[in-house]
This record gives sequence, C-alpha cells and structure tokens, in this order.
Amino acid sequence: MANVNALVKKAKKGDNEAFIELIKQYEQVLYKVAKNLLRNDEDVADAMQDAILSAFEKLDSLRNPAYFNTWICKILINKCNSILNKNKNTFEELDAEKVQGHTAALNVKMEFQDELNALNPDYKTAIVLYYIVGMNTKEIAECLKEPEGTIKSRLSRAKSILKSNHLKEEGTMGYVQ
Amino acid sequence: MFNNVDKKLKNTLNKQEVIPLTVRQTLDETYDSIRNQKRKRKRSVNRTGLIAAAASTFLIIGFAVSNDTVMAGINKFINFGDKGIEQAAVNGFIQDSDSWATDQGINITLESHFSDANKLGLSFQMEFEDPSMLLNTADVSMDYRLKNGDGEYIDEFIPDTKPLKGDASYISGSTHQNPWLDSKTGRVQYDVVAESNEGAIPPLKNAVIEIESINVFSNTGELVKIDGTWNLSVHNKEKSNRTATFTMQNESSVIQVSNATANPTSLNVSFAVGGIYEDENTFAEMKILDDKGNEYETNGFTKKTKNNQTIISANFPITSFSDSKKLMLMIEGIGEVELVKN
Repeated sequence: MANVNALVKKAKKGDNEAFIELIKQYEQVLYKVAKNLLRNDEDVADAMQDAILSAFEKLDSLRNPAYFNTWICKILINKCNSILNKNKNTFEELDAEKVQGHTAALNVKMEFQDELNALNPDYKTAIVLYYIVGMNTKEIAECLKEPEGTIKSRLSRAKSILKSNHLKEEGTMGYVQ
Repeated sequence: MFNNVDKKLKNTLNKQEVIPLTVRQTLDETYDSIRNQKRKRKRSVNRTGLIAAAASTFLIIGFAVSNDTVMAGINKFINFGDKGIEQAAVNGFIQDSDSWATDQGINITLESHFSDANKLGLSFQMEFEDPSMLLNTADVSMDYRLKNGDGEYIDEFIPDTKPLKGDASYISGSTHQNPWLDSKTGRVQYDVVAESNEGAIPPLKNAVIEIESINVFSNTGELVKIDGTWNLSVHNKEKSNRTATFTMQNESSVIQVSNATANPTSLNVSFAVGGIYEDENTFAEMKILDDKGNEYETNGFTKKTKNNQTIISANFPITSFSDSKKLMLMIEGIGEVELVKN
C-alpha cells in the first residue's frame, strides 16, 4: 500500500491518479461510514461521490497529509448530514406493506447491525467515528465541534443501549420455541 | 458486559464489506470524472492562516457577447472557472496588452491583464525559438515579480531558493495554468490569477513584471530552469473601478460584518464572530445567497484572531456588475447575516 503522505503530496501537485489511489485506500472506511449513517445505497453513493469530489477540489486546504483520513471522513459526515436533513423534509407516503413489515420487525430478534441502525443519530455518529474511522474522543470532539465530555458520554450511552438490547435479546432467546 | 459490546462493535464494524453495485458504479464514475479533470495548481502565501477552499458556484452567466476584445478576455481567463472574473470580462474589464521582451531564445508577451483590489490576472504567451525545448513537457511556469510604479512588490512568484524583495503582504494565493502548449510551434500560454483575501491589491499604475526564470517541467517531473531577464510593462489604462458596498441589515447579528465591498471581479467580505475558532474547516463551507437564489462560495479565506474574536476575510464571486440588492452570508453551525446594498 502506497504511503499516504507521498500520495497526498503527489495529488496536491496535480497527479489525479495519486488522488484516486489514495481514495481507494479509504474506500472501505468511507463506505462503512456512509452506510451506517444513511438509509439506502443511492444516498450512500451520492454522499461518497460528493465527498470525494469535494475532497479533490479542496485538497489544497489539507495542511497535514497525516490527517487525510479524518479530514475526508469529516467531509463525508457533512455530506451525510446534508442528505439526512434533506430527507427530513421529504414526506414519505406510508404504505400498508411497509407498516406491517416494520411491526413484524419489532417482533423478531434484532440483529446487532439493526440495533446500531436504531441508535439516535448523534450516538451513531460517535460510534462510527470511534470504531470505523479510528478517531479518539478528542478528535471526534474537534470534528463534531462538541465538548470531549459530550462525546465520551454519547459513546457510553450508546454502548449502554446496545448492552441492554443485547441482554433483552439473550433473555428473549431463552423463551423462543 | 461493556467489553462484550465493545468487542461486538469492533467485529461488526470492522469486517470487510462488499460494496453494492450501485455504489461501486458511482465510485467508478467518480474516478473517471477525476481522471478527466485538471486540478488547478495553487500556491498559498500562508501568513495569516489562509485556507484554499473549493471554488464552485452555481451562478450562470450568459455569454451573449459579440465584441471581439471582450470575447478574447473571457477566453483567456475562462479556464479558472471563476464566475466573478467571467462577469468582469463580459463587462469589458480585461485589458489588452502587447508588451514583450526576448532573452535566451524565448519571447514573452503579456497579452492581457486585469486588476482590482481583490484579484489580478495576467495572461502571457511564450514563444521558444527552439520548439524542441517543449517536447515531452507537462507544463511551463515563470519566476516573476510584479512591481507597481511606486516600487512596491505586489506579487512575487518566486521559489524558496531566492529571496523576496517585498514583504508578501498583498497576495493571499494564486493559481497558475497553461491552457495550451504546442511543442510543434514552440508556443505556450501561461495565465495567472492572484488574489488578496483582504482586498488589499493597490492600483497597478506604471507596473512592471520582472521575469527571472522560465521553468519547463517534463512529463516525468524533471525541471529545466532557464534564467534570463524579461521585463514587461503593464500599460494599465486607469478604468474607474466600479464598486458597491453592502451593510448589515441587523446590526446585532452573531456575524459582525465590518466590510462588504463588491469590485469588478468579486465581493470582498470581512467579518468577526465571537470566540476563537481553531478549526479552520468551520468556515470552509460558508456561502452567500443572493436575492435570486444563486449561491456563491469562496476560493479561500484568511483567518485571524483578536480580542477573543475570529476575523475572516474572503472574496466571493459576486461582482459590482451584479444587480443584487440583498445578500445572505451563511456559515453552517454559526448563523447568518443579511447584507443590504447601500
């Protein structure tokens, strides 16, 4: 795997292939971040495309190549938030099948990924940045412009919720025929 | 139990995922689009925390222009993708020039130029007597200094190996391009747009461009430096610089705008927000919305801190030729302020 610093420097000098190689190194991380924050593949694709093009345009603003990972993830999170905000204003017509599906889903054991998806967006973002991007709580605090204590508390609350759901699951499992 | 959740989170979130076809296709299209784009090479003079941010606007300018001089001006600087400069060109702001000098078998002509307090542009044509010097060349640039009639060095595009003659206080950053390069005829065009985020470029009256070297970069990244002397006069026909000023509608806004002056190429805005913002990305997404719904973003900005305030200066591609009466400056996470034309 090519050195990130060298690739950033080459990309800054106008080597587009170096930029693409750089992004490809982070493709999995970017995909997982977007997938965990958004609802469907189309939105994930849009967010990733916007973030990559934005990073390409703004590469000169990245001062320290060592921070490329957190820098591009931050751009991606902003894009994801824009999509989420836009979707908030869109009324979705409820159809009977969907409602039934949701109700049925509540009655079956939730997979761990579903439990993650059900977390409050603030908790989910903290979890995603901590476990996928690998940021520490200080970096997350800087990225989200929140006090570090708030981030620590969100991570702890998120884990508490997941733990309690996990316990419920284990309890339920004993009674399932 | 927390350890179990921790482990489960690590396992779930770090397992390799297969990227779905829709996403895969979009990513491949994105890479193709990047392969076909040319990134503008930027140089930043980073004395006060300059950020080179993305330059993109959603402004559309109609080019229903037939005047040859105006069209030539637009063609020279259109590759910079700066809608403010394009609007200035449409309105005849770019000046023609025919100042030239020859040395070391290279003739350099300054073909056109423009300047206001926020931005200046120079378009050169170089002609190599021996065209083979341009074989396998990726791009060509110059080491130059631009000095005005008062002897002040306004812009110096000089490598670190040479000392500056001025104090580099006027220019925040510049973009350089070769729109075309012909190794058969030995001719190459070299265009520069430099800007001052603080709107501090003085008039170019009786200015001279002192060119010290031509840099020829090969496709493999090797540099051939040709030293010489090419002094080009900038015959600046003093045009009355049309300006327009805007002031805050609500003086108690969280964003305190101290200056918003539109010049022919751009709107220079300086504002203060309470507190010290260390993270420059806070301002990377700031934008202005005009009364027709057009959005304008900056090409970069300068950040300073003073008396527990963060002070930002930037140029937006809204020109004094625009007829907008109201503008809204918006900074995500901080707030917005309405600006009214005086």
